[in-house]
Amino acid sequence: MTVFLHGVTYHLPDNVVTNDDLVRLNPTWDAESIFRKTGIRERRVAAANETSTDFAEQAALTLIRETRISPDQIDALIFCTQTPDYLFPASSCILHGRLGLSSHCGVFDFNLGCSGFTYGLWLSRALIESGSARNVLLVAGDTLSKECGIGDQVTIPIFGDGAGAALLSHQSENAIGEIGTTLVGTDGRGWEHLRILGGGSRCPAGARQIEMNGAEVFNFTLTAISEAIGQQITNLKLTWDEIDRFLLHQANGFILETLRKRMKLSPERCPIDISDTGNTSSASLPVLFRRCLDRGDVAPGHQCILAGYGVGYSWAITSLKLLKR
Amino acid sequence: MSVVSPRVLNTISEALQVSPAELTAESGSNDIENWDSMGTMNILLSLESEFGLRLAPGQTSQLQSVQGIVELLKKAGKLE
Repeated sequence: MTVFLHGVTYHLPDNVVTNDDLVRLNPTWDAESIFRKTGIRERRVAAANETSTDFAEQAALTLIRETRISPDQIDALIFCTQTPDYLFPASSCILHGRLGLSSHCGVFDFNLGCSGFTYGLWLSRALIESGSARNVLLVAGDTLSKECGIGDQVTIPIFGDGAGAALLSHQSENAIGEIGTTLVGTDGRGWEHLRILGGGSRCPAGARQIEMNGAEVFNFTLTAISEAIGQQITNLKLTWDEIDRFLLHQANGFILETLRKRMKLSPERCPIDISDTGNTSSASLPVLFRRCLDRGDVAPGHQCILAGYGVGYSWAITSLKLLKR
Repeated sequence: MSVVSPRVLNTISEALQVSPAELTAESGSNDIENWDSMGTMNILLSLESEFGLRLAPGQTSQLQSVQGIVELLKKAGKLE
């Protein structure tokens, strides 16, 4: 069965934090140096009373309006987040109520970071293919800016907040794309290199802040992700030249430039679009995808690869064909 | 003081954008301002392009000192 994409959108917080703002708070930092190292000039940051569920709600409402789907036709809602409102209930339950979805709609959260959106495409496609659901609302969002340690020069410049949403369906009418297979992968030996220990059951009173071993994460990304993308292209029985666009999780400018160079891809085929958002974790792919669609950088007929990768370590590489109108 | 191959010192100094004269066998990330997270990633890339060195998971901690890098290169058979 073919599974269709009907729309993708996102919502970012209003609050903008520039590199100059960071320097005002941390006088030993340098704004140009932050940009040189990360490719980021500003990021959108949640206010104290805003959560990933709030951004997911806004993205979902926009998507429902744009795709004109009736909320009672949505029979599954999947919410990927690492920053839920509460330990329980699941944020997807809260979102279900706010969106006024049917009582027959199944919902659940799953906890993955930068691979989460493409993992969600994998799950959504499987639900539709199996006949378990007809229309799936996938949302992915985080507020990692709230999890950065005070004055942490590694994480604060990188992370922004936001949420994305996509609608997948068994129906072809008004679809914008076909969702193909997803190659998923995990290397749990790398879990310690990107983590928040505090707040969970093992360290309930520990510091709730991101600990990131940048060099290890970088090394993992360089070795595992280009290989995984190559494997997925082989699985699809395509060649690298037959992929029009490679949409990669927007981790940071330096990692993306290095990956792009390693895969011998032009800026046009592998866009970097992080300078005014920062790394928005699981939201970064829907943000990138929608912005590319709006600019015409991704167009009908394009064969795309979407690659999510990060914490876990975890990765998911999805093929997507945009339909000709 | 042990002697480090000029090729190794040049590779590290270029990655960190510092003069080779600033580096000794005893240098490490605590001594050189540019030897931060970004500098370490640049060293990783430079070692790969200059020596063909690819690191296994968990090995990047050795990129924090000249001595650690020399040991990595020797262990990988990239340096005598």
